[in-house]
Amino acid sequence: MPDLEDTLARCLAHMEQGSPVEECLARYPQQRGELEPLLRTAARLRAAPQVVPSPAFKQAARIRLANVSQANASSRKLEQPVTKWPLFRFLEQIRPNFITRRRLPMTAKGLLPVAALVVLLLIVSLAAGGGVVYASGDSLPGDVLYPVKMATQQIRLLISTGELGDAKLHLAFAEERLEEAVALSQTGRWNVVEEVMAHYTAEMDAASVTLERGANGELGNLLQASTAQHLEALDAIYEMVPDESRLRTEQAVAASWRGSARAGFPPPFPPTPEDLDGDGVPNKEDVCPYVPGFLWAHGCPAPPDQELSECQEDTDEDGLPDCVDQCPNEAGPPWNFGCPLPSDCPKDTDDDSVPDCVDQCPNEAGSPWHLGCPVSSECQGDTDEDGLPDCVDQCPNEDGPQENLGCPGPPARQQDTDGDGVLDLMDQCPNEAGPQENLGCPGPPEWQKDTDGDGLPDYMRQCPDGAGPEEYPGCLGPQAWQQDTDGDGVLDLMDLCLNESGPQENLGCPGPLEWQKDTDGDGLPDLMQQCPDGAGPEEYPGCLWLQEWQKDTDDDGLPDFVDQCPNEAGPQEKFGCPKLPEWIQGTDGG
Amino acid sequence: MYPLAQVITSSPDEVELTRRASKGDVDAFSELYTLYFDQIYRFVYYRVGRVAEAEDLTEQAFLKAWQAIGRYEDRGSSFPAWLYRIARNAIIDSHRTRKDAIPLEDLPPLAADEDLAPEEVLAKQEEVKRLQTAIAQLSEEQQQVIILRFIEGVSHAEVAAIIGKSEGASRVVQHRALAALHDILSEER
Repeated sequence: MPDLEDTLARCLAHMEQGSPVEECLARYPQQRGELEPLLRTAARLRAAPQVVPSPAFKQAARIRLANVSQANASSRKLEQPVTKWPLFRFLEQIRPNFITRRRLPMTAKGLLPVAALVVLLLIVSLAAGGGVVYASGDSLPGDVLYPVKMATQQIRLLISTGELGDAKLHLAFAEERLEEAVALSQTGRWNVVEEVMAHYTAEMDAASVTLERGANGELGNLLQASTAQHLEALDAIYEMVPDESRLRTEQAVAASWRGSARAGFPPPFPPTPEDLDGDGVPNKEDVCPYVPGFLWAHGCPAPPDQELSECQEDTDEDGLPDCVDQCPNEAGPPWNFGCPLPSDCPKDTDDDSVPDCVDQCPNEAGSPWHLGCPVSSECQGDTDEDGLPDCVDQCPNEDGPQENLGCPGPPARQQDTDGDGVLDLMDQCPNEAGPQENLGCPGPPEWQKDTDGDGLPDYMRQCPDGAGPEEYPGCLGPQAWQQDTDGDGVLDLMDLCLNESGPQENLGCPGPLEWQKDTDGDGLPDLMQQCPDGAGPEEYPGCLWLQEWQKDTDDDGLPDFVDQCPNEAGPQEKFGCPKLPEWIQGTDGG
Repeated sequence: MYPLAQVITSSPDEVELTRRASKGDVDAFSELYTLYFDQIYRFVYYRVGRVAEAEDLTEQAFLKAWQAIGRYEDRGSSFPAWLYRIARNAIIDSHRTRKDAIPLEDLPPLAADEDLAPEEVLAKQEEVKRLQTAIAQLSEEQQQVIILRFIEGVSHAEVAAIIGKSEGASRVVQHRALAALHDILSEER
């Protein structure tokens, strides 16, 4: 009868080729009893459903590894020795670019050293376990891991190459902010939703501003596809947030729209009788009902100064700011998105300012916003003859200017109850006077607070009450953990040899630490190796092969030097043999 | 002298990729990553039984591999065998600190199959969970052999190289592991 070991191996080999268990059992009937449970267990294991990593994790892991490996690879090109702390070198490497080249979405003074700080925090987090970074992926503002998530994003931005790469990342981060805002809206943390919406606006503007530096079809398509989805989500958020928290969401909508406009696409809302200029602001709430504008600018194209500083430029002086002008260097009417009309098309039969070549109703005077066709009949009457048709006139029987929606005085949305110069629409404290920079409140909102007034909000600071150099964010001088007693470039926090200078890879010590040494580079420190100079299977740590006294060829638990059958497994009571050796049987017998 | 276990032979492409990666070529390492990520993840999952921990350790293993690949050359074993060993070390390190129980609801992600009803997917996930829980009760070496041989489909020669034993010894471990696993799974019924 063949050895069970051999039979099992043969049967498993046949099963790998597709033979059923029964076939093998039939071939070895005498061993069926022992074979069957083994083969059925093997078959069950082989039939196990295939476990695969989730695509999201796989992608995220690849990005994280790419970030580290690219930084690491660059450092190798500089012929630096490979160390166990690539992120330290990585930090050094990126810092110069970081300070001179990159423009972060939030450009508050002092933000850069804070970002450097969070990178450091990230490194500390990684030292505590790479899972922290992954775990931070789903964190929300206020969660312990949220700073890690934000720091990770900054790192990705820092090491991305080219403006297109940056823009795509900004767009991705904007989507993350949007997801966070949706999640936060379920919790009713409206002040945090506002903060996240402000970040979304910054990310979207950072993404879309790239288009102004050179049109890019890929990014344009991405932006267009994204903004369509963003607007749906923003609309849902807008419906959930209370009135007093809607301003930031409106700004976010405007940013999304700006992105779409910069990509060269028309406004997302088609003109209708209720929204003549198709800007998404209903006529009755639109201060400029005939000109597309921003939700947060009361439907006008030019936003208030304090709202968007980068939207003040109007290079071609056609009345449309560059940020919404699709032809910022060529003057054109606003209803043609700021682009010039065809030069070979002077004729305008119906004299409605829309040349015949683009006028869909060339013989009938109409609105340019309706491609030269007249607006619907119900919107043609103007009882008080103030120039605003009744359908958009908030006071159709009283003469009033357009900026008051046809009323003698400003409409409710334009009122300023506390007289602080901030319209109620924008005023987070409509009954308490406060400056514009505090959004109309006596003091800054919590997330804006900047106790020492250096432009860095308290929530991003180490020492909110202090004022100091930017390298010690918000502190008068270095904190204990920021000090570098021996001046070796490794902060005391990380330096295991505080008074001796040493490189980062040695944790600030002159030479590698004993427990770090890994002579044969197999990832197992010498400390844990039996033969630190060798390289071999880890079963025999760091040794090329078994020490003589460790050998147990048949793996039966008895070392060869005491095993009477070193090539056949057997229990100790049979001296390592399948059956008692003959010389012992002989002794027993006689 | 103890016979050295048979060394896994890598394909010429893989050898070239590994050579380039060891010189710091990120793209080459990226290709190796694509080739072996799922395998290593599966191996780690069956060892630890938690999705989040498996993800964490798989990521750590590849990060460590990248950091050490400059010293990989002339090590006498194939790249996947080397990867499996790094993953195994990461698992052992992780287990030194882990004390909490594995939650039952932590079901593994499976390859997508649109033809399956949700309850069928759940049944498959539970089968994986049962097998993983049973495998986890084996000795460390037996776990390695079972997962590599029957879940990953690695040949005996390769398994022997990874665990650092002869093929004969690896077969003995396999035999005992299958017997022990059968007993564990039978007790569950």
